[in-house]
Amino acid sequence: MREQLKIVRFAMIVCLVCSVLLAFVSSFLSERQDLNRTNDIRTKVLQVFGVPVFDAKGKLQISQKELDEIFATRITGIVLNGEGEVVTDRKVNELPSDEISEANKETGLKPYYPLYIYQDPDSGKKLYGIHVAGKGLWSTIKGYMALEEDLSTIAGLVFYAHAETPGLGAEVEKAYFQDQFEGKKWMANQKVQHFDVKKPGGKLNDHSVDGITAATMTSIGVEHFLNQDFAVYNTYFEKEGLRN
Amino acid sequence: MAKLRKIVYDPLMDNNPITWQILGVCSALAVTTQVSTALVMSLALTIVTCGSNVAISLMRKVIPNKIRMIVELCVIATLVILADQILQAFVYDISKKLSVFVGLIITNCIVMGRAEAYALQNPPFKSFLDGLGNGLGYSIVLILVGGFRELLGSGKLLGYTVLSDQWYTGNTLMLLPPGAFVIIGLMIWFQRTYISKQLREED
Repeated sequence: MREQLKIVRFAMIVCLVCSVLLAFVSSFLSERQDLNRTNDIRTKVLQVFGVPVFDAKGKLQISQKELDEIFATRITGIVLNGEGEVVTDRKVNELPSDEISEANKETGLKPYYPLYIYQDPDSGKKLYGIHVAGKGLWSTIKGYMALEEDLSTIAGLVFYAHAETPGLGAEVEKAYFQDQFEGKKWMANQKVQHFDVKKPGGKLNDHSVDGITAATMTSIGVEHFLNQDFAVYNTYFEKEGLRN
Repeated sequence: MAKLRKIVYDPLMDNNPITWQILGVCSALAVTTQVSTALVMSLALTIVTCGSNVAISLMRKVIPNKIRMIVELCVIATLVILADQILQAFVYDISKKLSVFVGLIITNCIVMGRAEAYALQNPPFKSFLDGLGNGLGYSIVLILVGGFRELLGSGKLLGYTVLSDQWYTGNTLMLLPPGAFVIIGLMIWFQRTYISKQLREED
């Protein structure tokens, strides 16, 4: 009996010491970690709006202060739900990344859809940034797409997270794939068009791009979630009459 | 002194945890597509192994034998979470690339194995050296594998282009886990056939 008590006492001491240590470190570092997470999202948003935040090697080339300032002066944002309605109790910068990318299995919709609005300081032109994400072959592919003021022309697309097959599906992260989207259009004759990611080598129009050779499932996935996510944002654009 | 040196040197080559004892292979396959991730992973594992060895060794006389493995796990898990938190705070990009594998150090056989096989019987300083040696042994293999894979797979080393893509096409196999299997397999063969031959004959 005494032996058992000794064991319990020892286990309790070890657990206590470990948990106190972890709690202390976690509270000490959490501020820094949160900042890293928000910065991570912010730099990606700026990237899709064409603000040069990264140098050629992918290193951050603007300071924290500049980043804060750009965000404070040039960018506003709102959060939509799956029906394209504005959610007021959430802020775009504080959305955890799984809440904007993991879709409900039944409806295929995600809980939150952030919408960023970027005002260019020189030209006064507006750009809209929407979040697009969905399943590829192995993983959830996540990205931001920038739209011109007409809410139809694509100004840029950046995929920032995926775990597709290196050399095949992983080509979604390459410039040659993403650059194709620039200048393509979602609308024709006031109607939303289905956007196609086609088999490479086919005929292309304003609403289609070449897929990735030997990565059919990834291409199909990208096509699917681009259309699905755009539809949600579009509901909001139409309701607000932003296109007129 | 020579004995102490042996504790550190032995696991580097003759008794390497990956190529000789075939432990910790999982992470060696997963995080070695680039040298930079391999480096950070190696550093994290070395620190955790040293720390857990010292902690277990300090407690070795008071740990009740019945729950010694649970205590070992508890100490290791704490250290790993600490390492993960620190990585997330200071090298966020790399911690994202390492994703679950930092957490999986908890189940890495090297850490647990050294705690169980060495730290429970030896004083703290020797245990520290043993942890250091095994951590470095793991690191050498990881960095070598990472070097081969990054060089052959994407023509780069530490992110700098070495083999220009104008004449070199990256070998995708090297970026996939089977590529690491092939390289580790070759390393094991090379070591056993050419370097540790004597050792094998003694066995």
